[in-house]
Amino acid sequence: MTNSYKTSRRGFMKGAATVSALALMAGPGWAADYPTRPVTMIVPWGAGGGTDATGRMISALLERRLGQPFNVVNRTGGAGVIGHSAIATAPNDGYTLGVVTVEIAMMHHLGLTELTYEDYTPLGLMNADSPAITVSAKSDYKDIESLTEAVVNSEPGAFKASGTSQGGIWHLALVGWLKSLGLEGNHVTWVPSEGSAPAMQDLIAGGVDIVTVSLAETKAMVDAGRALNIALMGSERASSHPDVPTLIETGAADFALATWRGICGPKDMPQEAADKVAAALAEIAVEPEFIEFMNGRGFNISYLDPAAHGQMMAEADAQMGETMAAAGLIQKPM
Amino acid sequence: MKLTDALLGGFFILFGGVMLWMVSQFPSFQGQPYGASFLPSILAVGFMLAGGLLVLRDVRVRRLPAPNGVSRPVFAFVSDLKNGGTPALLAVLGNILAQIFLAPSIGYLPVSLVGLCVLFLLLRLSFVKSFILALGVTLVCWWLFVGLLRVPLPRGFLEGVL
Amino acid sequence: MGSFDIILQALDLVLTPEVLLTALLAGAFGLFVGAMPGLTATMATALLVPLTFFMDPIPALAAIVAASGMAIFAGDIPGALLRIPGTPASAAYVEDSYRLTMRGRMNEALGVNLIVSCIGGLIGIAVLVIAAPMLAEFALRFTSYEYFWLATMGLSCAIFVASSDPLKAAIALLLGLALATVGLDPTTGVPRFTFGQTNLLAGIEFIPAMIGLFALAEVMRGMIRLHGGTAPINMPKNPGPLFKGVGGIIRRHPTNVVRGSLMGVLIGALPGAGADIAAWMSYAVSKKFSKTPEKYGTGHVEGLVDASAGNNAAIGGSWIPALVFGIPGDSVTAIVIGVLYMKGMNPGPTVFLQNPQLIYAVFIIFVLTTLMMVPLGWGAVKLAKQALRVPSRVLLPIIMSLCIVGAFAMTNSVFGIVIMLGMGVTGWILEENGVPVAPIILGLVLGPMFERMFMTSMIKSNGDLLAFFERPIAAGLGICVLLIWTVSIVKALRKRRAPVAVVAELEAEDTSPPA
Repeated sequence: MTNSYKTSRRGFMKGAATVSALALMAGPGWAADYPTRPVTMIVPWGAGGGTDATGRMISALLERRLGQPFNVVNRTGGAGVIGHSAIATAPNDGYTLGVVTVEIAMMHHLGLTELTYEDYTPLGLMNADSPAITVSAKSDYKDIESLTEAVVNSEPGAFKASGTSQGGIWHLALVGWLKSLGLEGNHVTWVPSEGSAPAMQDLIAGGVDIVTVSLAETKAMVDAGRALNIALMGSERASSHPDVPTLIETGAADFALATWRGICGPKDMPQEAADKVAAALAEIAVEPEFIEFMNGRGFNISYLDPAAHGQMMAEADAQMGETMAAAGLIQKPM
Repeated sequence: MKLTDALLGGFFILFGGVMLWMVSQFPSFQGQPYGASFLPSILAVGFMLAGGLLVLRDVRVRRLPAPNGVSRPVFAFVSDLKNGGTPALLAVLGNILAQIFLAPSIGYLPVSLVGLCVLFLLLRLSFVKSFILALGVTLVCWWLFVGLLRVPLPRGFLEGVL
Repeated sequence: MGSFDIILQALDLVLTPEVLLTALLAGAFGLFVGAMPGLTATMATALLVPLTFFMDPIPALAAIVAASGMAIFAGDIPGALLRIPGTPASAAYVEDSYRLTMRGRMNEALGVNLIVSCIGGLIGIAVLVIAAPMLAEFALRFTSYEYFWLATMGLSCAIFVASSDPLKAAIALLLGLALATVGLDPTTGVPRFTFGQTNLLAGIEFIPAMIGLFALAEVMRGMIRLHGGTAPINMPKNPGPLFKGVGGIIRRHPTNVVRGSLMGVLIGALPGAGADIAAWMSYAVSKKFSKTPEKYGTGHVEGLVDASAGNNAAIGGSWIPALVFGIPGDSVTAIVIGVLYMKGMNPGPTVFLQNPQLIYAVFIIFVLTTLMMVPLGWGAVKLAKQALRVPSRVLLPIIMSLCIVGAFAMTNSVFGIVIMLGMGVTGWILEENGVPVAPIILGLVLGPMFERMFMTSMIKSNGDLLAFFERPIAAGLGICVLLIWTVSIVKALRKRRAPVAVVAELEAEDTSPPA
């Protein structure tokens, strides 16, 4: 131990000289050795959340594959605006990457930022989750048919739903569902909350009637027998919850939506770097350790290669714009 | 910087007023009686109220004879500063401003090294001591925060070397 | 009979060199992070997460429990020595512990703090073990109406904690609340007071704000003092061992220990209200029921006892909803839940049935790390005392450097430093003018909760204010709050002296800013 430490210290000056010489020579070919130094992975959401955990796990696995540290940096706040701008405005040398989430397709419609999916280099979609319609175990409605009927026949504002902030992705899920039933977007009153945990708490405490968040976020309460997932707003059933029907198959409504997380770099990243990360991500998506981790958290792995990832973001952008306009959520910002 | 309570109160009245004006520009919230402007407008009124009380209290105090014969200046920029505290104080603020404006392009390490050197020199440490201390503090901060806690302090032109 | 087996199994899981060593290292790490002004227990935990990915469940949880508990205590050390609270939970009683130190009674301040933190922590765990399911049920009855009253109660604390000048304390609280409204409003989605700045959309983060208000302002004052030729900080000698006289103080205030701890557990068990709020509320209650409320804030040990028991008991409390229902009580337990899921110990009532030995192992780790706090804390205080031997002109620039990197670390951008600078200058000016800065922190912490809970309640009730009294717990809390206010106002009116005399008195005794 002591010995090798001494050697490395002696070698340090030499090493530093070599590295700086390399840096000076940095020509077009250098990216072939990518990465030669630590890479920063920006997560636009707070430590402890699902995006943070996913980002940290992917970083740890990238680190193992590409041989350089991938440091996770949380840049939070402003409903994701801060972190997404930090990714887009970072130097596009491949040494700053980030987790880009569904909010990139929403924020600019709300006028919160100029950024769109076009400001990024897609490297691979890793995860997509559809929201479930969840009710309290004490609710009068135990299946989607009876709930749908009750909602359609109710006075506007009689039902309350919660799950995230005003105009957030789960709010859009509610609006989209109501629209597909031919109702106004605010037929069920949206009660904004700071994330899914307070919303679930409010559901169990009897403060709201419906929660529209992802299956993973309801898992603890459903396992505890306090809440019921009565339908999934996805195009097909989730492998983790095979007994929760989709809205489409029950015929209750024709609507599907998903939140997603992908790895992106700033626009115009060096091709070599992008290819290397994309290849590593493709391998990670099928690695048992990653699958086990995602299943454990209740996240659905949904891998798309960079080209498909980019196309998906473009489609999502258009879909979100439509839904938000229909919901009357797009107002002039001050 | 010591102001009289009347001046301080006046400032808060003004502050509340500006806030109230800004709040009036907030959009209302889809037919709900309470919106984004609800709490800020209460706070703005609170500032104006508290400021008003402060002014009133000060005016009444001023009518009394001063206790212990201490006169109450309307404004005083810290008497201590006359004795030469200003350069050190400005050096602290300068250090921070440099970290905000210069460090992102130059890097944390040189900005901290030079800034701390200047500060230590102003505090009358010898040149050698100042340099060694500045270097030590800078490197320890770097090691703790970048090495151990993985905080992305700006690397500046050392990007690619470190 | 089965439970004894389970405890044996759990002991077997915990008492391995690997687990104990992990807990020790993580504890030392937590001490360091907590003692740094501005770095929080949350940050200590978040930094451990990537490491826990590759650990077994028991050492992983041991690391988190040890680091977060130690960080909360360690926040008191710079508070007592430099008047710079290390965590928001310590801000409630920083004035008392600092003034005790200045009078050469640092041993009392930190010794009491350490031992009471340990006792509070143990009581918190006891409640967690015995009453977790029951308390979790209780916490689940809380909707926005109940939280609204809770936040109102917390804000009222500022007035009771308030120093000699309630009017200026009120202004400080207003400032904190106003700063909390900056940014994207989560209820309506409208940006407020952002002046078109993207960074301001995230609002004023309260950790950089706290570093500015306390630490940077202290550095600025120090610079003026140092250069002005006035006497530098004359730190009195600290005679005797750290725990001298601590036993006597605790024996004299047993109710305070128990009351603070129980309040801490209860508040901690409510999701969203954590150690920070627990410390403030127990300090306020302590003052309210004390025979000598006028001594609070002048270096009185009584409030310290309540509050430091409270904030450590809150840690145990916050695990209750996390373990029973997977609802995070604060940001630390949010991370813990993630780790639990990853290790296949999905939180929920079933975890007590499926993996009881694991849960008991967690409890045992809790007890061990809380006990470990005493020797580790003792060592940390000993080390920290050395910092005071360093002359001010060397120490102050070092603190400034730590402020800068600490503020940067909270936002991972220079914007944290901007907030720190702005708040530092503001805090300095305010203190020069006799406005206390601690209520600003309370406003920043509670402001968002207060507003959000009011707004969501009004959305649910379609603007009907009476809804705040329709649910039983809400009505109870509401009546409590209204009673507290009525009683205080009546008392104030009855005891009313001419306000002019009060101010004259104040000016006579407090013409210089706090040292």
